[in-house]
Amino acid sequence: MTVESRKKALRYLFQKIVDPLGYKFSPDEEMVDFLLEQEVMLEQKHGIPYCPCQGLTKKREENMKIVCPCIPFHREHFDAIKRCWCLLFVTKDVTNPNELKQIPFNEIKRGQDVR
Amino acid sequence: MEIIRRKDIYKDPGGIITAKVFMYTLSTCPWCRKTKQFFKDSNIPFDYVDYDLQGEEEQEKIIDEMTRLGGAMAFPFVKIGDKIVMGYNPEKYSELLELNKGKQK
Repeated sequence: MTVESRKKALRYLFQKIVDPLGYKFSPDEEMVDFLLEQEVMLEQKHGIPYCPCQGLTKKREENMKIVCPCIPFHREHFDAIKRCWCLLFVTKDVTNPNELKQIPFNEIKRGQDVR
Repeated sequence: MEIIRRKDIYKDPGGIITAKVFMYTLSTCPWCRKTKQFFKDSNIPFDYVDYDLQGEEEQEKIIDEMTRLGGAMAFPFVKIGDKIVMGYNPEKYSELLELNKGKQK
């Protein structure tokens, strides 16, 4: 299977997973294409399409939490910033993904604690 | 060069600029690439290590450092002086480097 055809297959598969979660692919098509390509490369290397924007560790159970789409494992975080960490997916109400900031979860938690 | 304002960020002995910007990045992450590009475009020298291209032992050390300094493992992980910024955040980088200070009245 070529990289292009695998990208297409992942797109089809991911769409079905993220839709019921309230997410969609980012409208930034160039970014989506780049990220899917990185995932295909990671899949070729590790056998699993891991998130290209998060680091793998020695802990398998932790690595399983960054298999794309990783939204269910980071629901509170991603719902708060309306995007996944990579910006491959955004919440369905988002029209301009460039407005969404990449804020780490501990900063969001800190903000909530202050309130 | 107007960017050299804070002694904790840059040293300038004899006109040589020494980078005090360091980042942990991933070779597969577009936001890490954008971060590197931001510093290049701003003429700020920096060093970086691609976490995913390191061996297991080195990765363990990096995880320990990121967790100790930032409380989490999130890429890009940027150290500017003694400050930590996780995620692509050009506004924060500019603020810490005082890049826009000269432009303000």
